[in-house]
Amino acid sequence: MKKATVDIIFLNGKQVQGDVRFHPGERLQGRLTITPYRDSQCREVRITLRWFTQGRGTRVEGKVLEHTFPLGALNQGVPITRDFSFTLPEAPWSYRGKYLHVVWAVEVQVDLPRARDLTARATFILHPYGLSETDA
Amino acid sequence: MTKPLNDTPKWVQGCFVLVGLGGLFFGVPLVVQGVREGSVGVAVLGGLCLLFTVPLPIFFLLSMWARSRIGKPQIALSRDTLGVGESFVLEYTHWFPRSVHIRRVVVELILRERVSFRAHHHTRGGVSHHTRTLTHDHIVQEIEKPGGHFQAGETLYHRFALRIPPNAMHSFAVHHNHLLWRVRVRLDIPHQPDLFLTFPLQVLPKLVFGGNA
Repeated sequence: MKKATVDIIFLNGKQVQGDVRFHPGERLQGRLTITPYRDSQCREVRITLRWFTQGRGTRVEGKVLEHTFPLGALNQGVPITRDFSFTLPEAPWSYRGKYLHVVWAVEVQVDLPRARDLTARATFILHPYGLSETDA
Repeated sequence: MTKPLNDTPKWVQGCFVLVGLGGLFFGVPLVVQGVREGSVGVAVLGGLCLLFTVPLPIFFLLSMWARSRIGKPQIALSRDTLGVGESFVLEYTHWFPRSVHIRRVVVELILRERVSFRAHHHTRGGVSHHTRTLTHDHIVQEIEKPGGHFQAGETLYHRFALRIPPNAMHSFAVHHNHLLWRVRVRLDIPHQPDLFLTFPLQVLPKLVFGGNA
């Protein structure tokens, strides 16, 4: 049985057709919410910024940045929120093609003792076009 | 400036020529023997052998002959390292050593996806593995300019203004996953195979507006 839900939301970025877009080099700000379904303990929470390839080619991924922090006790029905931020790199940009996609994501891993880790992923677009008034 | 690349590698052309020679080596004796002995089956087998092997090297020989007749064009790119959104110019200059008719000159700006992966096949003896490569060309921009009839010593000159779209991707290459920018020039000559010349571009992950167009 699932012990908690994990949600990630982005606090900045630009909403474009259902995606959140960020400019390379921009500071990404987000919020993590863990809602426990029962009392338990949490060893640590790991938040990772990474990109990976999807499609027909061999999968490649790059872990860019990682934050880890201890959490302690989880109480049933009491949500825990933590804000996080990452400075995004300049490349690679997001891409969606026929055989190859380049996807950016923030991933969360909640380490629970004697239980399977809880995970969540939120994807976003890293591309400079369409984010500035001067884009034409 | 970058070195032009032929779209079909030389070793592939060599393989086709060898296949054609092999087809001639086996096909002609079979056809001759079939005709002499009145054996339709042997003659048809020899004919099929010739049909499936000989046209390929003929095509490449025709290409080489066409190329030798028209000479080599001079192609200059204003720059081969660009930013996303940047404009550039391709200048096409062609001096013809012989009288020739050119239907059109086509320039294509291409983003090529090339991915490789390990494919698995279940066989009777177990699982076999081999590496597969898939390629897809996105033709991002295509410009066509008219040719005409040129006497020996005349020159064809065209100037093509191209632009990497601002919402496009930069060049990308990591572990068998490639996004490659190319400019391909196609010379359409009546009754002869088209002449292709391909030039690589390096597109950097920076957004640029304007350029050399």
